[in-house]
Amino acid sequence: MEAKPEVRDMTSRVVTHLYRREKRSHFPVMLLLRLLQKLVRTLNSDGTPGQVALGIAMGSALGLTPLVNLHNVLIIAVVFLLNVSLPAAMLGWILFAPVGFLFDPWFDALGRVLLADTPGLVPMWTALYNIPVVPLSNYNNTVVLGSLIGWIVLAAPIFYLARWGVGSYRTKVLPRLLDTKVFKLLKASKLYNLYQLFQTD
Amino acid sequence: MRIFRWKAVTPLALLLGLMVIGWYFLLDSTVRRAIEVVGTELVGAKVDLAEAHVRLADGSVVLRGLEVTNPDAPMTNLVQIDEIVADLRLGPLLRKKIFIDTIAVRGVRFGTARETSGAIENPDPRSGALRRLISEWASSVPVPEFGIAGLTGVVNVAAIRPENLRTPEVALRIRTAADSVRQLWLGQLQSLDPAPVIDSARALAQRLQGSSLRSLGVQGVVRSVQSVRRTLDGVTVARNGIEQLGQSVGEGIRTLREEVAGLARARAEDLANARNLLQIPSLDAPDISPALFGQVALARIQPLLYWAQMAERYIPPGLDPRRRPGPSRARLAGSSVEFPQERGYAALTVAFAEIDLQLGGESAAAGRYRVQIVDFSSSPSVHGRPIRISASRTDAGAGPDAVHLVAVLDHVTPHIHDSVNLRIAGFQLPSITLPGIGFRMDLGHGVNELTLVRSGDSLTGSWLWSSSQVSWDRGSIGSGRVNDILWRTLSALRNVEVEVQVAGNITGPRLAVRSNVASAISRSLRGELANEIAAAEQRVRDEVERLVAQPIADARASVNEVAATVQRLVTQHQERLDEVKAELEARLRQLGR
Repeated sequence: MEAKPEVRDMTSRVVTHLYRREKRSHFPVMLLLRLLQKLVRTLNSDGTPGQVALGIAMGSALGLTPLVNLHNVLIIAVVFLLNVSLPAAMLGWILFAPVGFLFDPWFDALGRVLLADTPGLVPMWTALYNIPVVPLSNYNNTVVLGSLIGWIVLAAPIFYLARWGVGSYRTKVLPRLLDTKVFKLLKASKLYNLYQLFQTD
Repeated sequence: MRIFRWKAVTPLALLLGLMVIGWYFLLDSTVRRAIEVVGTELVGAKVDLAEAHVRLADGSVVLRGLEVTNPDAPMTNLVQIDEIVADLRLGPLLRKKIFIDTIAVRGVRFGTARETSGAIENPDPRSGALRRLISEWASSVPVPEFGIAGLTGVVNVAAIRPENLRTPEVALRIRTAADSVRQLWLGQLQSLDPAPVIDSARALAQRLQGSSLRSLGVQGVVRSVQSVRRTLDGVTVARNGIEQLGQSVGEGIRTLREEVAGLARARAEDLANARNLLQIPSLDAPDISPALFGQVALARIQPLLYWAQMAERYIPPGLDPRRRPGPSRARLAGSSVEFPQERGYAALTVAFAEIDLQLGGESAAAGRYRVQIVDFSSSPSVHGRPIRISASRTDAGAGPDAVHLVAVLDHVTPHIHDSVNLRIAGFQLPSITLPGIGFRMDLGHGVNELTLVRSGDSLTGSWLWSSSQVSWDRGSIGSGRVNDILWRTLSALRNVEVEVQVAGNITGPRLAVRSNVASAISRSLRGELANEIAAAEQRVRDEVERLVAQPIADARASVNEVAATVQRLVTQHQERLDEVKAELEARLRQLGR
């Protein structure tokens, strides 16, 4: 027996409400899953290897240098405005944050050499220190300057390495991976269904 | 493929907008937290701020409920301030500099009780380092003891033992040094022995005796002249060697004789120590003053040294880059380097500050004070003007008649020049229990005058307390001949002056204390106990002399013997070389005829 239209509407509203409430309570988990999906899709197919590599190289700045600094606002703006992969930038950030912590003593030493132990550079730092806005960048902190210089030096190698890595992954690793029994089993499992459930498009 | 992602402009602008709005709303708590963190680091104890209101549009900052914990007493506030209102310039903020045109501070109280402890778990070792250095200096300043027990008791000179005296030890050291240098110099004289040179020169001179152009011929004369010149060169070299050794011996002997002369100082110190050992006080007024007021003077001078050095640390002169610890964060803090520039902005500048101080209660200090600070800058070389501080009392009531403070901190050039002049009249002066005597001196209301000048690293100053309303309390000190004499003398004293003079390097100046109390004690004891004191002192002097005279004589004899022996040998060698040189020169002249 078919339910009356008003009953159907009410049922639909209740189900939608319940779904939304559930969605809200699992928001952080969903966010992580969405991020994971985006990362997987980025690595597999979204964007060219160059866009992905540029995203990783830009994102590595957020990981390698102390986050709350003016130059990172610029990096984020550039990542948003230029046609580079946003998930790749996040991947770069996540990958390079531990590296940043690990390299901090070297960044500090490099910054100290440049800021304190090289008298020839003092006039330049002094001029910068007295220009509006520039001091807000905290360039005069040994770790900030050292890590920024470190990132500038490493950005090109990170880009080329990432571009080569993504290209190789897409052409060589991914087709083999898709062909493995494990992956096929995984694709047939409920876990994959659940994973797909959270796909937006 | 498009390079620019136009559709991202709106979300990015929204994101930035949200960040700005968030920053605006979080500014108050960020400023409050920053003041608490930085203040805690500086002081080494908790700094709490109840609220901060920052209105960037008006350029105003209002801070309320500031409590700065006393690091030495965590349940007490060093200072508590009800309200601070500051007018900021916005332009310098873009340079990360704070320029305050005016600042008004109201409701300042000192030493208020805290509800919770303001101690921090792991205080920054640097924040207490300066205090520790000054404490070390204070404990290294010798404060003599003054005791009256030995004035009338039996003088037991057996307590004076050679191992307690410094003079025999120094004398022995001098003798050992004299023996060592004697061996060294004799060895050097042996290695420079001019005998072979002298013998060879003598032989040549004898060979050429009576020779002339006629007897030797032209070629023979030329060869002889060359031979004489070579030998003369050898004689000169040997002479120079001996002369250099002679100079070195002369300097060494001078040093040893200075050491011997220094024994008199060691003897005087031993005499003073022996007096202390037997509790026979020196009755010279310059010795009594530091004994009576040395500890009080040190306690008063230490904060002055602390603040003078803190002023240098936080208001450094010059334009050199300055390194300070970086901000606390999950990542390594590193160091932040400031690069001050002439005619730029200092990290913090306060053009004009007015502080309204109110001390409550019934004490003499109660009342209102007005403190003005002009041209305060964390980098005076950048600001180009010295910091001027003045304070005066605006509402006295029962308190001091006059409070007047003028201070100038001139850190504009690398040569620091600070001066402080404070005069407080009618203020309650401290009560002091005189060490070694036990009487309590209540100075009552009087004049407290401080003058301090720092020029470069040298510090000179004086702190004077004078009162004409002094009262005395004998306390539990019983009667006795000396006690009674002292009580008669001191209880009649109504006018008292205590002056502490400080001079020398800022890190460890010398202290001198002068007081008419010491002069009065000296006069009365000398007058009444002259014979007993003279006898006791003579016995001590004799005993010390008996123990130190022989070591001093031995040291002196040892040095004289070294001087005589070595210098005689040096002179002998020099004379022999001079003789043979003269002989050779005569032969040379003879060959030329």
